[in-house]
Amino acid sequence: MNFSTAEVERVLDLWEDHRDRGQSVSVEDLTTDPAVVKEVRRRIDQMEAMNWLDADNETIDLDSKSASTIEPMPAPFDSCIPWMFGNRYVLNALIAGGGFGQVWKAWDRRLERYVAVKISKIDNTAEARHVARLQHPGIVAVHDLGEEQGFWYIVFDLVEGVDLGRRLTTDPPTWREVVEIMSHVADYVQYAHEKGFIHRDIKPANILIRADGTPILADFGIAVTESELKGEVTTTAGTLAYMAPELLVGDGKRADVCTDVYGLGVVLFQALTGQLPFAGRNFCEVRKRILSGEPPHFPETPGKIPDELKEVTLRCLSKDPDMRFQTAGELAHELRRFVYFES
Amino acid sequence: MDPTYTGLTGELQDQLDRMQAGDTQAIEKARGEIIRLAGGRLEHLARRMLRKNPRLHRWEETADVLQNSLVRLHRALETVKPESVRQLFGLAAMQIRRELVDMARRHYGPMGEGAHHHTDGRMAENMRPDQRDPEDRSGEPSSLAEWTDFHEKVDLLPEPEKEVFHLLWYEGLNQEEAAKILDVTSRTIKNRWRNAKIHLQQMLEQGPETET
Repeated sequence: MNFSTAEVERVLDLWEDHRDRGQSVSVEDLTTDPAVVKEVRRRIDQMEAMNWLDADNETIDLDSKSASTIEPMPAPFDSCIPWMFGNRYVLNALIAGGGFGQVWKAWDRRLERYVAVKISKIDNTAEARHVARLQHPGIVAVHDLGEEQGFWYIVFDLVEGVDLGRRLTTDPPTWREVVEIMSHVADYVQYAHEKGFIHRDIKPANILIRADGTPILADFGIAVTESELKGEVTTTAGTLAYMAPELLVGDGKRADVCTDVYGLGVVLFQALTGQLPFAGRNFCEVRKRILSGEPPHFPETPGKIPDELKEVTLRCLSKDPDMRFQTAGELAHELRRFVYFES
Repeated sequence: MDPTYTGLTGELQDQLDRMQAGDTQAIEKARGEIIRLAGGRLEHLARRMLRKNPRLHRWEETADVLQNSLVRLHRALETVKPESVRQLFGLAAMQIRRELVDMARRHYGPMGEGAHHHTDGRMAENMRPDQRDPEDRSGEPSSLAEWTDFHEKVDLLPEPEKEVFHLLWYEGLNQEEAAKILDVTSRTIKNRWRNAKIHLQQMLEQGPETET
């Protein structure tokens, strides 16, 4: 059936104008050409099928939890997950969910001990091989990996204790304890750097505190070797509040030793004060403060933090990577001075 | 409704006016405002896209997904040297669309966290339209596969329609604001928006392209 496209457009314009004014009108009232009527009706049907596009102006409340602040969804029990992996590891209890998978406490039937099993839908062989190359008592060791019914798993040491994030909220450490913990962690990071690894996601949740109080560094899931980073110019891994400013700007800066030193500085500040150095209500605010915010102010705390320790912390948080400690080992050394000479 | 996330702020409108009056330095000031606007829209659209996918929440922190996309968005917009606000808006919309496609592909693709997950109640990507939940009459994509198809089809729209679609849907501007940026009449914007919807519907009816 022939029709004029211009006439169809004209009738559609009229029909839309009526609709926008809240007036009901039939296509036949606007044209007498049956071919045009048919085509206009067809287009109206197609247009109305896409009306959901117009219902898009939901309010975004800046005070609501946004990308930088929302909590991970709790991980419910999932009946699809096998109860045993590799005919050896029997799942016992969910330890953590979200992130890049789930971590379960599991019973190792062969060695008769509990282990931690990280389960993911993604092939995480590379992660397991990364961590396996790091053999240090301060870094969570990997023992096994495999695939079971479409789920990839990595078997780690089970660290009995709490992570530093939880410790900060339930039993905040004194500044001396913080120095003790963070000097160890800086040593572990130094070791990883010497092996050519950049952690990229140093945060309290990844620092586990054993029952005897010593820390152990976990989650090298997004760690990369320096050689792998050579070809990468847009790395965005990590958690915003702990990301160094140079990673947030568009000059293609790659993660390196100094970005991990910055992450250590953020954790140090948070552990000493209970606050993040650069916080905000949403992504944009946090990012802006990391990039251009004034050096953070140390709030009053029950135990007076030595000024020199504040300076060490702020040096880690320098916007300019060259102004930070150039190695994690340097930071560990500085922190250890407080352990031995300030008591 | 917060103006930053629903349309142009007064400040950005001023920058636009100054640009049109020949003030080329206004672009740098406008850039920051557009980045804020684009970031808000990306977050809004990502949440909308992901909200019907409970299985995704099981495997990925939504915050992580959004954060990484926002970091890339900021970096992409900060490195370009646009000649006009129109061009900057175009780049922002393109980046938003790209991030949403990546997000959907990452979680829907064969290696995605959510793939083959049997607890996705409806498994909408495997259903014909007549098999869908009869209560769902919105027409909005209901699976990440459908969202991927939708975003890819947008890229196939004729250029004038795509540009309007980018401004109105990906960036959340209203028709008057889009008309000002493109220097056309509101009627033109209205027609292009209508034709974009019709073309999209025609393409979506054909279903996603199958890989061979």
